[in-house]
Order: sequence, then C-alpha cells, then structure tokens
Amino acid sequence: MKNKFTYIIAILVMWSLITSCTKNFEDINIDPNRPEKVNPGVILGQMQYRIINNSVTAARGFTHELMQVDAPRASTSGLGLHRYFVNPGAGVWNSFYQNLTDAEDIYTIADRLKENNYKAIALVYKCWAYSILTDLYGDVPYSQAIKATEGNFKPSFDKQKDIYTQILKDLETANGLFDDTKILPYGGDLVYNTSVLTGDKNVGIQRWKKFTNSLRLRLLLRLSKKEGELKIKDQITAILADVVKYPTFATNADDAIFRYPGTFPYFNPYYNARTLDWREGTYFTEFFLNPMNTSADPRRAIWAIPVMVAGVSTFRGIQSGYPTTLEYVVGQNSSYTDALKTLPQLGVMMTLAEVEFIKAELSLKGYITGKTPKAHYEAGITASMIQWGAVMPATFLTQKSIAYDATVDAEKQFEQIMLQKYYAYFFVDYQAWFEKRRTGYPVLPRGTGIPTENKFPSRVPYPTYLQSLNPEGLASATVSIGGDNSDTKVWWEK
Amino acid sequence: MQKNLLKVLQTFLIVLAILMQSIAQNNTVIGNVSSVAGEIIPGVSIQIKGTNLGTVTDAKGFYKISVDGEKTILVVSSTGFTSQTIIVGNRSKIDVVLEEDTKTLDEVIVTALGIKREEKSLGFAAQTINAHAVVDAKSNNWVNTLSGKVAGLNIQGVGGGPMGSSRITLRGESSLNLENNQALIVVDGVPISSKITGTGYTSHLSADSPVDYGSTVSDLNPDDIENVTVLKGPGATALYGSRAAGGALVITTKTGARKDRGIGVTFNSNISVEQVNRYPDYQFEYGEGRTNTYYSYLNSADGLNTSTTAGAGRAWGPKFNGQNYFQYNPNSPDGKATERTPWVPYNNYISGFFQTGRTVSNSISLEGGTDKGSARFSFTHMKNEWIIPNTGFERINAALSVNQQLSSRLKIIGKANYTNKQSDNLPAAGYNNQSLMYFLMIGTAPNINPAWFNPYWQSGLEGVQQRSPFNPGPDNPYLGMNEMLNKMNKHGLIGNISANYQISDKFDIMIRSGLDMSFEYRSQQRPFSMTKYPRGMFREQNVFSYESNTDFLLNYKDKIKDKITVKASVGGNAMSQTYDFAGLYADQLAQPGIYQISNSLDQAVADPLKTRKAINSVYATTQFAFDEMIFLDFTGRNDWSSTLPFVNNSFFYPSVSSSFLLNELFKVPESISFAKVRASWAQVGNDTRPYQTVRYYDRIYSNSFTNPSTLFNANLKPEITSSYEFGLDLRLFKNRIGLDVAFYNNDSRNQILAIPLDPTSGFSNALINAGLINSKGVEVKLTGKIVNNSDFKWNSTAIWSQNRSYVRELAEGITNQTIYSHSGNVTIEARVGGLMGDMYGRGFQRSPDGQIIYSSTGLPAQLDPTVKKWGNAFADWKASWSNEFTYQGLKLSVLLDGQMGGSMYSQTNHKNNTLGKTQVTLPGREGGIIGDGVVLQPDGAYKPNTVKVAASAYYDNYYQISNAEVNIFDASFLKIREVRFEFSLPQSLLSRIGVRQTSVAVFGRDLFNFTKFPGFDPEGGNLNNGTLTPGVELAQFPSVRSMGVNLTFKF
Repeated sequence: MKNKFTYIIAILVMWSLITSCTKNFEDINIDPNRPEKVNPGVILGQMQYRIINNSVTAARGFTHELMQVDAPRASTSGLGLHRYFVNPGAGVWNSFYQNLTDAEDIYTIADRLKENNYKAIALVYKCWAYSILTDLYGDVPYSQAIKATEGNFKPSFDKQKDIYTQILKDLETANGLFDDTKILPYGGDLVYNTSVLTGDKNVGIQRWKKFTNSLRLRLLLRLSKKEGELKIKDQITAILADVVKYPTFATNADDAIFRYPGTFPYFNPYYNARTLDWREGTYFTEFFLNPMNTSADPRRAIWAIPVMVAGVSTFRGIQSGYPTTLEYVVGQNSSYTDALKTLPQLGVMMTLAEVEFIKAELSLKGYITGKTPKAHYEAGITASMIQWGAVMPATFLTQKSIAYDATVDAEKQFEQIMLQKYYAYFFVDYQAWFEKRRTGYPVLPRGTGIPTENKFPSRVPYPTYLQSLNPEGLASATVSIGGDNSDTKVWWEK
Repeated sequence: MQKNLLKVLQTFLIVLAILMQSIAQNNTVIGNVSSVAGEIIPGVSIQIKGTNLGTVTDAKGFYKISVDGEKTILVVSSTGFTSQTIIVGNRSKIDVVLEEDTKTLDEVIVTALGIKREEKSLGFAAQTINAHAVVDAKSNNWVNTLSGKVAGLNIQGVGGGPMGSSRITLRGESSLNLENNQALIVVDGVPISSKITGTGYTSHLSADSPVDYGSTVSDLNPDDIENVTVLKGPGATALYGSRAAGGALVITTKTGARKDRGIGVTFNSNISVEQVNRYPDYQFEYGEGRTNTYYSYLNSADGLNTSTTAGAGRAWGPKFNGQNYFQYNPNSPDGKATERTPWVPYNNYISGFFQTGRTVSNSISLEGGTDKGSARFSFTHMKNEWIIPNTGFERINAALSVNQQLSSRLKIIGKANYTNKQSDNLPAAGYNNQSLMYFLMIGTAPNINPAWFNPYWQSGLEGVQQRSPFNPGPDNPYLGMNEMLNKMNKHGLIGNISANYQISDKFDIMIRSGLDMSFEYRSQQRPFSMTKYPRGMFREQNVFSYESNTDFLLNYKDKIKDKITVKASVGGNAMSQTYDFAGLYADQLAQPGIYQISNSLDQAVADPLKTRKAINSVYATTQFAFDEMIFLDFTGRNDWSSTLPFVNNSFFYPSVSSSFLLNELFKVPESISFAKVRASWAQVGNDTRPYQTVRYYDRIYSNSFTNPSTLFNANLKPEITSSYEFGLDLRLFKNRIGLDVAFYNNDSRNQILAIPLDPTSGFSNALINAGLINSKGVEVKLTGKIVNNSDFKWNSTAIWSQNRSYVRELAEGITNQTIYSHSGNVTIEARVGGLMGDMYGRGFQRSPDGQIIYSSTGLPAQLDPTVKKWGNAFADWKASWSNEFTYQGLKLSVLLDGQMGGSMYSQTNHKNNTLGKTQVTLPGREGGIIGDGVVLQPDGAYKPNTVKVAASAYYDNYYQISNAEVNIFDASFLKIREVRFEFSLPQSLLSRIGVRQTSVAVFGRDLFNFTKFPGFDPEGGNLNNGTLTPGVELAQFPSVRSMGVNLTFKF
C-alpha cells in the first residue's frame, strides 16, 4: 500500500518538475497575433487611409475655419482660429510622423525586395507629407526623424530649404523609379488600381507618375520666391516641356483621391459623426457662400444645406471673427450636408483642378503651358465640378462673376484664378492657407472680434511637449526660423 | 494549453480512483472533552501525532477516532485552550479536560501558498475575515462587502452597472500602471484571474460604450466562502511572487465539516430590493429652453423653440408658474399641440427612468463526513433585476469540496467551483450616446414626461427609425434599454486537487494543481437609426481564459534543542496562462432587427487576440521559533518569466520577518494579556505583459499592419518592490481590548514604463525601466468587547488607515507621466515630488489677491492656460466603525464606513450645471447675475466686475468642462454601509420540525450616503475598456441602497 502511494507521489513530483522547465519560454513569448515581418502591401493601404483621414480632418478642423470657409456657431472663449489664435502643435505633427514610420518601412522593405513601384509610392507619400509638415511649422525633423529603433529618441531639425531640396530630388527619383509594365505584386494600393495591366501597361502606376510630377509642380510654384537659390524656373520649364518624361494630371480619373469604399473598415472619417457635431458646430461663412450664391455654383448644394429664410430655401452663411457675445441660433444657417459624411471622393490629396489652376498661373506668368490662362482657368473650374459630381450649367463659365477677364491687369487676373483655386481646395489639407500665404489670395475680410494685435498666421508653433521631449532640437529650430510663434514667416515666404 | 488541461484531467481521474478505495482501520477510541469548569467543548481537534489524521468533537463534546495501536499519540487542541498530548495505551475511552489558555490567542491564519500559521508567529500584518462578512449584507459583487472591514484595503467602484466591478488595492498605488496595483486573488491556494475583458471602448464619447461584464473574482459565490485572509504587503506575499506585489486576498472556500455526524443541510435564502440611494440636487423650478421668455414645442404661434438640436436638454427656460404654452402633445403625430397647456414640472423626469431592483438568491448546501474524510456540495442560484429596466443578470454556482484520508499518511483534497453567469442585457456605461446617464443629462428637461419617449419607434417605421421627440442627439432611452442589448453567457471553473503525504514525523510533502478556466460568449447589438450606428451593428466575442498553477511543497519541522523549533519548506510552482479572444464584428447590418454575423452588410471582420504567459518559480522558507516567544522567518523565491528577455528573465527576491511576544519575554503588568511586536523586510519582483521585447507590427483594419505606437525594448528588467513594516499587537484586560497597529514603507523601482517620445522619432512611447514610487502608511485596528455579559454583548471594532504614495523618480529627464486623461480636461499625473493620484487641470485666471478675473463681457476670462493640481484621486484616510450588539437570540450589527479627502472630477455635475439642471444654477435666473470677481483694466489695475449677464451664459461658462477647478470635488463621505438585525427562532420550536439551527435577518446595505459630492456617489470612477480608473466620474450610474431579508435553516 505504502509503495503504491510513494509511486503516485513520485509521478506527480516528476510531472511538476517537467512542467517547470523554462526552455520553451522564448517560444511562449512569440506573439501569435502579430508578425515580425510584413510585405509592403499590407502596410500601404492602411497608411494611405489613415494619412488621408488626418489631412481631411485637418482641412475641416483647421483650414476651413482659418480660411473662412466656415466659422464656429458659438465662440465665447474669445479664442479660435477664426480670430487668428493658433494653438501650438495644432495640425498633423503627431499623426503624420506616425504614418511616416509606416511609409519608411514600405520604402525599406520594398528596397530589400527590389520593388521599385512600392519604393516610389513611399517616396511620393514622404514628399507629400513632409511638404505639408514643413509648410505648417518651418524647420522640422527630417533626415534624423523616424530613427527610434536605432536609438535616436530626439531627432535634430532640418532647415526648410534642405528639406525642400531633398523633396524635389526624391520626386525626380520617384518619377524615374515607376515602372508601368509591372503590377504591385503585394497589392495594398487603395488610391489607384495598380493591380492589373491594361494591354501591357499599368494605368495605375502611370497615374502615380502623374501625381509625382503634379506634386512637384505644386511645390516648385510654392518656392517661386526662391528662384535664386534653387533655380525654380528651369525645373518648372523642364517639366512643362517634356510631357512624356514628366506627365501630369490630364483627366479627372487621374486625381490623387483616396476614394472611400464606404465598407468596413474604410469609412469616410465622418461616417459616424453625430448630426449635432457635424451640422450645428460650425456654419459656412458669408464670405464662402455669397459668391457661390451669386454664380449659383452647383457645388453649393453638394457642400451645404439650405435653410428656410422667410419661407425661401437659402444658402446662408455667418460671419467669421465675430465678437464673443455673438452666438448663432441653431438651425438657421447653412452647414455641411450629410452626404459629405459618406461621400467617397472626400479624400483629396491633389487634383486635376489644382494642376489646371497651377498652369493658369504659370501661363499668366509667361511659361509655355500650351494653353491660355483663361483656358486653364476654365478647365480648372470644370475639373472641380466633375470631381465633386456637380453638373455645371452651360452658361456657368460665361456669367459675369465667373467669366475670366483677360483684359484686366495681370494681378487682377491672378486674383481671379486664386479665388477659384480656393474653392477647388475644399477639404484639401492646408493648401488653401499655404497658397494664401504665398499669394495673399483670396483677400479675407477681418472680423471685428479679432484682436487688433493678431496677425494672419504664417505658421503653427511647435507642439509644447517638445519642451520636455526634445528640448535641444526645439531650441535650435526656434533660433533657426527666427522665433517659435505664428507670425514667423517660413523660408519660402520670406 | 490543451496538453496542460489533459494533464490536470488525468491527475483528477487518478485521484478520483483513489478516492473510491476504502481503507480499513483497526482500533477505535471514544471520549468526551470538557473544560475545567465542566462545560462541554465542541469542535476540539483530536489529531494523531505524526499524521494528518484526526477528527473533531461534536456538539456534545464527543469524539470517536480510529487508532493504529497502543503507541498512537493523540494531540487534543482547541482555540483558547492549552493543547494536550496523550498516549493511547490500551484504553478505548479517553475523556479529556482542557485548561483555558488566557495568554495566547492562537488564531490560525492562512498565509502564502496555503501555509497555515499561528497568528502570534507572523512578522507581518494579516487579517482574516470570516464568512459572515461576505454574506450578512450581500452585494451583487461580493468583493464590495469587504469595504470597511480591513485596514488598508481600498475597494473602488466605478458605477458601471449591475456587476459592480471594483478595483481592489492594498496599501495604495505602488505602480504607475494602475492595473498592476490590484491585489492578487487566491482561492484555496491557487491564484485566479482578476482581468476584466472590456469592450475596447473608453468612457468619454468613444465609438461605442464600455460595458461592465464583471470578472472571475466577482463571480465567486459568497455562500461558499469560509474566510478571506488579507495579506497586505510584500512581507506577507513574497512567497506568492511577482503577481502579489500589491498584496493578496487569500480566500478559503468551505469544506465539509466533520463535527456533525451524518448529513448537514443548510438552506439559505436572500431576497433584497434595490433603489437609487442618492440623487444630485436637481431643480424642478425651470423648464426647457435657452431663454426664459417663453416655451414652444417646435414652432408655434408663440415662436420658435429656443432649445432645438444642439441647444436641447437645457433647462434655462421659463419658471413653472402654471402659465400656458404650446407644449409637446403625445397624441399628435408630429407632437405639436393645438392648444396651450399648463407649464408644470415632472418631478420624475429623472427618477422615472429607474425602477426598484430585485435580487433573489437561494442556496443549498449538503455536508457530511467521517473521521477519514468529508465532503460538501452546494448549489446557489442568484437573479438580479437591476435599477434600470431590462438590465440585470443571473448566476448559478455549484461547488464541490472533498477530502479523504487515504491512509494514515496520505490525504487528498479536491475542490471545484463552477459558475454560470448570464445576462440578456447589461447597460452601456459612460458619457456616450447610448447610455441612459448621458440621456438624462442632455436628452431631457424638467417639463418632459418620461412616458413621452414611448413608443420608441416611429409609427410605421418600427425597427428602422427611432423616435426622438426632443433632443435628437442622444438616442431614445427606451430604445437603448430594449433594443441596444449587451448579452453575455459565461461558464467558469475554478478548482484544485492536492495531495499531502506525511513522509515521516519530520517531513511531509504537498502537491497541488489548480486551474481557473472560463469561457464566455458576449454580443452587442445595436438597432438601425442609432446616432452612432445608422445601419445598426452586431458584434460577438468568444473569450477563453485559462490559468493553471502546479505547486509542490516539501515541509520539514524539527526541534533543534529543547526550545528551538525549526520549520522549513522548499517548493516550486509552474504557472501557465492562456487568453484567447475572438471577436467578430458586423458594423453595418444588411437587414434591420437581425442580429447575426451573417447579416453583415460588409464582410464581417475578425478580431482575434491570443496571449500566453508562463512563470516558473522555486522558493524556500524557514521559520525558527525560540521557545514560542521569538519567531524568525526567512523566505526566498526565484521566478523565471516568459515575458522578460531571456537573459533577464530570472529574478530572485528574499524576505525576512520576525515576531516578538513581549508578554512572554518580559514581565508585563497583569492587565496586558498579550503583546507582540513584529518587523519585516521583503522584496517582490514583477514582470510585464507578454510580447514587449521584440519589434512586431500591429494588426489594423482586420488585414493590414502598422507600426505600434510604443517602441519595444529588448532589454527590459523586472520591476522590484522592497518594503519594510513594523507592527504592534496589544491585547488588554483578558483580551477585552485589542489594538493592532502597522507602519509600512514600500519602494517600487525599475518600473516598466511607457515613456512619451517625440513622435518625430517614429514612436509615441518607449518602454523603459525607470521610476521610484514610495508608499508609506499606517493602519490601526481597535477592537473592544465593551459589554460582555452572558445576556448582552457589545463588540466594537474601529479601523483607520492612511497611505501616501509619493512619486520620487520617473525616467531621466521626465518630470511627469500622465496616468489618465479625460480628453485633456482633467488628468491624473505622476509628477516627481507629487503623490500618486494627483489631479491636474485648468482653473480660473486670478488677480494677485486671488479673485477670479472676468473679461469685460461679464463672463470669467479665458481659463488660466497653466494647469494646476486640484486634488488627489485617493483618500487622505479611511475609517470604519462596526458594532455588534447581542441580546440572547437577537443580534444587531451596524457598520459605518467613510473616507476623508480624496477628490473626484464629476462630468455629471459639469453637464448638469452648464445645462441648468441643478439647484446651484437657480440664483440669477431672474434678471441676471453679476459674477464675483475683478476685471483687468488697460492700466493694469483690477476693478470689480459690474457687468450683469444671463444666468444661462454665466453657469455655462463657469462650469465649463475644461474648468477642473470647479468640477473637481472633495469625495469625503460617510456611509451607513451595513445594518443587520438577526434573530434566531426558539430551539424548542425548531427541534419539533427537525431544524437544528436557524437565523432570520433583515439587512440593509449602503443605506445612506452622507457627502458633499454633487454627483451620485463619491466612490465612483470610470471604466475604460477593461481598466477601472479612479478619480474621474463620467456619467456614473447611481449607487444603490439594498434592503432585504436573509433566512438560514440548518437541518
């Protein structure tokens, strides 16, 4: 009897000892949920989706208020972008760098796999995102950024000029890397259809190439004042001269738009927005709506909800920059339509319309674009209408408030181009503001609630958390740009 | 995992087979045990020396025991009496007379690993709570009944629903990660999971709402609990290892008592009703509107409604003077009235949404045994209908406990607790569209009858379009209660088997294997037309959780010299955890009203999460007892954790504790019956979550991957908490008065922190080892038998405790770490030099003499941009006072429980005040209000504010969400926690119907709540995914008062 129990106990002890082995601990600590290695396809799509959400949200949350597209219903605090108060760090600092971590990985992995198309797409995203970051803040971490895995927790800041020099180089490189005879073998592209060949050509890749050069045109134009430093004119001329080597957007189908599929998980970022917040938090301004009312712009009904004023359906806007005592009554002014909450084409990066307005400006300034400023101007408006799904009446372009007047002086013509460009920038990240800083257009009315000492902002101050997280980088950047406040002009604006 | 499960099952079968065998015995000895005074003593232990064979005397002091032969030695012992050792010889009847022992009170305490120890020998604080404490005044979650019963124990609820989940912490917050601070829960020697699997959502306006689904701890059946020992600090828990750094609650479940021959049957029935025990100070004088000039439902001849959509839910409208307005007409299709009706308040416009809750619990247990073994079986059914209609849950517990002496040397014990908990609907919590509490703030007003929200579907559009007669923002509350269901069905099994073998007089070995396993199905369904789910939603999750612990423990005891006793143990533990979560989401439905994954409009999305973790340990402990006067303990434990880098995964931590019985060592005055000082020093290491040491890509949007926001660390080290503790245990006047005091000091170092990074580095956080949190505290327990007559007894216990957890260091170059942020409005931050739980936020701008600065408009100026500290989430001190009065068969007990200090941010109060729902917003309604403060003049001088503004504008600005200064409140409270009146029916009556013992009691729990806190309950917090966060209340549910009857019959 005794032996039997000793035997059982011995078995139990042995079992216990066997299970106490630690040699399999390294296996236990391998995550069964997450991979250590990924292909570029599985990172690309989500990165495209998230980065566009960040830019679209910034458009409505920042640019539209600052550029008087809309204004808050109530603003008792006395602050607000519409009164030219810019909170430090407002903008896409945090989110863009997070997205760029993925873009860097796409580039690195694609480089290892020798997949030039993924490399080029990653470069285009890098250039697009860094151009927005540097236009927002001035000097930003660039060459030393995204190196935490190498132990660099406090990247140094690069000068805007150096960033732009590299961006322009990278776009040139990307243009050369795109190979339109191949599909993207790992898929993932949610912007263009790059997974099939039509004939023996990949139309999606051709469109990426057009986006690359269109973006280069946008940025070269932004650097117009820096002709002396970067030879801008030569670069623009080279692009315009060789449409085979440097194709740009030619049809609306080329538009660099993240078209929201509207199925889980890739919903429009406002898909779930509550009516309360979507419609009653902000209203369109008079500045934005009144010219559209004059021209009966068909985009108006796609963007704004009419309200009943004395029994008449009206698109009515409010003032921007109003005094603290003013509070607009709910439901009496036009706000964003519910259709925008599910509209696929809200995810705009860059469009044909913008390219046409760029060319209108270039043509006006004497570049050889192949068309007159008027033709580009009209093509720009038409492209914007098609882009938003609006049906443009035949007489639209000829009516007085819209018709291009080539008889007035160049500056007046330029202003007219820039006003329509401003409308074409609806929901396009910060571009309307950047262009306003470059050109001064459109001329915005100044509300009485804006403190006299507030200037129209020229940049966003750096996030305050840098004071503790990267003090050395912040200090040197502050000196380099000439003061960390919203009045400081960035390099290209000087 | 399945392998392990198989092993456990195999072992279980082996043990069962052994159980079947009956073992023959030889001689029998009988006898009676009595005191010197001649009174019979029941429950005396009669043990055969050198074995763990034994029995206890029955109610008549009689015992019967089988012995091996004449040389058998019996050890006769009972609490409060001096033990005796008797050689059997050739006797078959041995009567024993025990002498009373007034010197020592050898209460036996279950310490780490289930080692039983006499209380006097302990060098650290431990407190045992008996079964009554958890069943006398029941709560939905038994853990909450511990409140006020242990010094240093903090039970923090969140007001999240019927499950009543709460955080259990001991001696403050030692880790910067709030989840690491919870006490370890051990059932019958085996740790169980306290993890709460959340819904993935936070409490403030996230895509969906958090739901409190409870945890394994809350599923335990209080009727099966024999006692709970609270081991407060590392000194007590060093042997439990890494997970007990925050202390441990050691629960022993009931076993079959052998003192009653035959089968004992206990029936217990508990019926209680629950109601809201406290409301904020709502006002019922003014109705809906933005101005008080008139009211109109939609637009009428009187004008446009002043409070539609964004402005709705505001109660800045006209005063209720019985005047007539065009109001909502429930009988008209569009709600518009054709006639004016009297303007009157509905005083039930908030309370009308609640009901009286009901909880019924019935429990039956069977127990019995022989001197070889015993068994207990119990079955309990509990059903709760909560204070919100159509919410509540049902629970079944079945427990089996068997132990059998297989031979004079081998004993086996098996325990199993099965739980089935299911609910057809648990309420959504938090400040969010779908929660009732959110609706009560912004969806209704004093002039609105709750009945007007029914029916909740628009006529002809049932199942497709909800009805929102008033504010269309929040969803119709009845839609929420009846259609937006959160269901669950959970099966849980906790059990262990153990074998104890007496190798010789000096050695014995114990082997034990235990498991905590649960499988849970959950679903959330949302109908069409909900604000956040225009096309409805259906989600389901299967959650499987498994933990096994296998221990062996070899014990040795001997006397070195006459007066030195040595006890030593060596043991090992293998712990293995598996968690397997499988979610399936259909976030848009193809057809309304069909809640199946197959009804997904888009392809349904899978969300799997699997984790595994293992810790292996070896440990040793030695105790020296010098003449039963001085006790010295040494322990050491080494853990190997799978979660740490392989090179760093081994960590050792020691402890030393000592106990000195002053009354034995020195000559002390007669009045001191017992005096003990204790001192201990200990270290406990802690590991981290799995998968933190290698770079992985996070899955996102079901089939894509992204870099995580937190950078991995391949060089993580274990966290180490070191602590020392001193204590004094003093008993005076023949134990009539007892005083127990403890002082402790804990240092937690090398904490595994996610420090913030400049996001331009590519990551927002990095995991590092850093930081030092120092917790200091005092715990006092005073007990007194104030009156101790044979008829009337009054026992009283007072408890007081204080803890301060100081943030001494964080990572290099970092001075503050945010622990929790309520959208930036208020943050709980660890700042170097501050305390854990410090709450920061913005406040008014103030003039040099401290007055509020107003702008020229008459409203307070922009809030001061510099954040300041406005409070601390944890109490300055906590105290409780319990009294028990016994008069013959009647017993009255009262427990008062409270805390001083501690703060809470109240979102409920902020919103109610800005919307004019509370009485504080009444002053200035007629004619406006001039805020008390100063205005900065262009010349730099301050002049008193003279601008009168409308009350609506004033309070809206004053109580704005980001003004932490006015929305953080003192959370001091005093609660009448428990009152119970019990009486036993006369024995003469009972014996006729075969009832051996009975008690009938009426009880009340959380009857009154005295506090200045303006929300529902100062003991609140909020639920963020599976984390309970203290200090910030985000639309908490009301706390409930429960009153009930408890009947117990023993046959």
